[in-house]
Amino acid sequence: MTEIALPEIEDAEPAGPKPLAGQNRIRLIAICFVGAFLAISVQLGLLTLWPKLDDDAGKLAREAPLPRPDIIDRNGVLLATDIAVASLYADPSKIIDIDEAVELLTATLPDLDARTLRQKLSQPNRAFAWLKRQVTPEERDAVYNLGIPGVGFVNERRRVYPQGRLSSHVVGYVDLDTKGIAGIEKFLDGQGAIYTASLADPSEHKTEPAQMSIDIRVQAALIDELSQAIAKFRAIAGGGIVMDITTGEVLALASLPDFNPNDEKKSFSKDQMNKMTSGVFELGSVIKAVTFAMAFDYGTATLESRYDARFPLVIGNARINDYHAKRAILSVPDIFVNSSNIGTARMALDVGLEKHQEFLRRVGLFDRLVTELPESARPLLPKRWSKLATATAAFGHGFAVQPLQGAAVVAGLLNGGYLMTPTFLRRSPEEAMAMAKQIVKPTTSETMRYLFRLNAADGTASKADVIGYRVGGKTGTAEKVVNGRYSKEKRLTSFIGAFPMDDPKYLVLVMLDEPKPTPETYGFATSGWNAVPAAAKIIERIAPMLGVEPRFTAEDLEKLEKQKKAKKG
Amino acid sequence: MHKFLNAILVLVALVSGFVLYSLEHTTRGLEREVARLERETAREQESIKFLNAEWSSLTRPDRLKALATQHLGVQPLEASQIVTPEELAARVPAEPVIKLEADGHDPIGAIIEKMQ
Repeated sequence: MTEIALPEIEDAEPAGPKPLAGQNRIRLIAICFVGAFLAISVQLGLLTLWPKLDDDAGKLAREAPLPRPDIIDRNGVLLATDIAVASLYADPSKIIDIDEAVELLTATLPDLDARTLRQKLSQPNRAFAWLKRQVTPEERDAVYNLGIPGVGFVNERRRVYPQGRLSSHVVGYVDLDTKGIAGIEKFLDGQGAIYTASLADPSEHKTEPAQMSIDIRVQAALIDELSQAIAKFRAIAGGGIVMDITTGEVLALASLPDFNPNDEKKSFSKDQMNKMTSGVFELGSVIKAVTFAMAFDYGTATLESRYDARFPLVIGNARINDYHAKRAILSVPDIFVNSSNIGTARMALDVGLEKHQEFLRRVGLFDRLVTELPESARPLLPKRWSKLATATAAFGHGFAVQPLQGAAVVAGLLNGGYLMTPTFLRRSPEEAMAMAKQIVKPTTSETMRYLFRLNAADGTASKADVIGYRVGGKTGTAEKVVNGRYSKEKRLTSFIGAFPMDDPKYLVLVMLDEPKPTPETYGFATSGWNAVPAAAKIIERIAPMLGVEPRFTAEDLEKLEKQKKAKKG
Repeated sequence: MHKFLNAILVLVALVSGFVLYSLEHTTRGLEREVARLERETAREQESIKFLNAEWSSLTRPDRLKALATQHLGVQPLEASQIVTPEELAARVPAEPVIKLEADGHDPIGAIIEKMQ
């Protein structure tokens, strides 16, 4: 059958040069190959001649969380930073010679306890055990060099506060997950998140440091002098503020007892809270400054006015008396210098209930002061505004505010009448003026400066007059409320002052809680004997740091001579 | 003709292969170098941070004060100790009090000459 079939095929072939069988198919394949090679070479050419930049590394970095900003003070001193720390762990199942490991490790890290270490390493069924958290770089290198199998390090980040307790309340601290839970650290995470974001540079994976208004040298001087005063007068607590009144920047804020933010256990007691912002206190006579400014500003009193302080002021069944009773008709400067309750109450009554409230509202004493610090307390005011309430509130009774708010208001009275919200971040005088609110006339501010200076030159605050620095101030001694009654024994003394008084720039507030009389103070425990001398020491230490030049009049030089002689004798 | 062309092509293939591999080798080396430098930079930055923190902690004002009172016996500055340049100028005599050069005796000048 096949033999017959073959010739049939022969016959079918054409006579001329016939195209090869399947030629079209070969051509098709060739075209395919040429196309594929062309595509490859074009792609090769593109990739080699115009290489596409590898973006992966950048992407990875961007996905990682941005580092927490460092915190620095106004002079660039580091207050808080993140450092990498290594933590030592062991994998007991991999340790060959437990005795050798224990010996070597205890020799390198003397604070490791040999017995507990042996216990930890003798559990072959466990695969992980912490040996020491957060070791120093030197210790890490030393342990690496031991070369013990089964011992390794895990890298962790830790927030440290190099200034320790100096920065405790203002800087605050973070929890174990580096989330801010107090002070400026909380502000950076919460309401200040926009500010924090403005510091970050995601393309560089870096963060600019957050600069605070705090001056750590001033802060150190403040804390040092305060703790000395607390020890000397056996006070239970104390606090202080130094503020630049031309910008509202807080240069130092201390509240004692304080704490060390580097402590592992952050179990702080209520005593250690920031009394300057999260507590309210009756500042007592310091509030008289507000009453005086009000009377001047409404024009109901001038420096020449006189008020009758011969008899206690009786309103209903309450009697208002004077601590330093003069029993005389007093001029306005006398009322201020002698801190007369009767006179001040009469001045407030002259202004009137309505206007008194209106003025307090204008200076912001009805509202809670909100700064960058998360802890802030609302002022406590009389519930019903009666005639008696006006009379007592005039000299600070029944009227409690955060000390920082009190400082801000007095700053506003002294700096020309501009109320500025205090800040813990840097602020220029221009920015401060843009946000400031005019609360009193510049002339009123002028008069207040005169009264403050007068009071420090020869008044209740005379011990604050650091010769040369033109200090002005007002004292306050408030009786503490114990079981709903004013106690005669327990006092809160305060001083608020400013310097140099010819052009006030810095405000100092000092507060002592329950100072006791000492033999040196002749049994007195009012502000003039404890808070005021403490403030004087603070001013004497911080004035040179802040660049305030001392200036002496002939009278000052005489006083200095006397002081020198007294010291020698 | 064909043989010659083939030989050249083989040669070109070999040379380009060699060039390719040597380039890749140097690239790898450079990449390793870059990674090493990056690691080193990161480590240096970490130690800068650490040293900054340590410096800040060592120059704490309260620590310096304690050291200064203990070892130097210094006290806080008093206002009366500050003198203005004008006051200082008033105390500077017009003529030097001791004329060392006139005596032919100039210890500071001698030191400077020695150094030169």
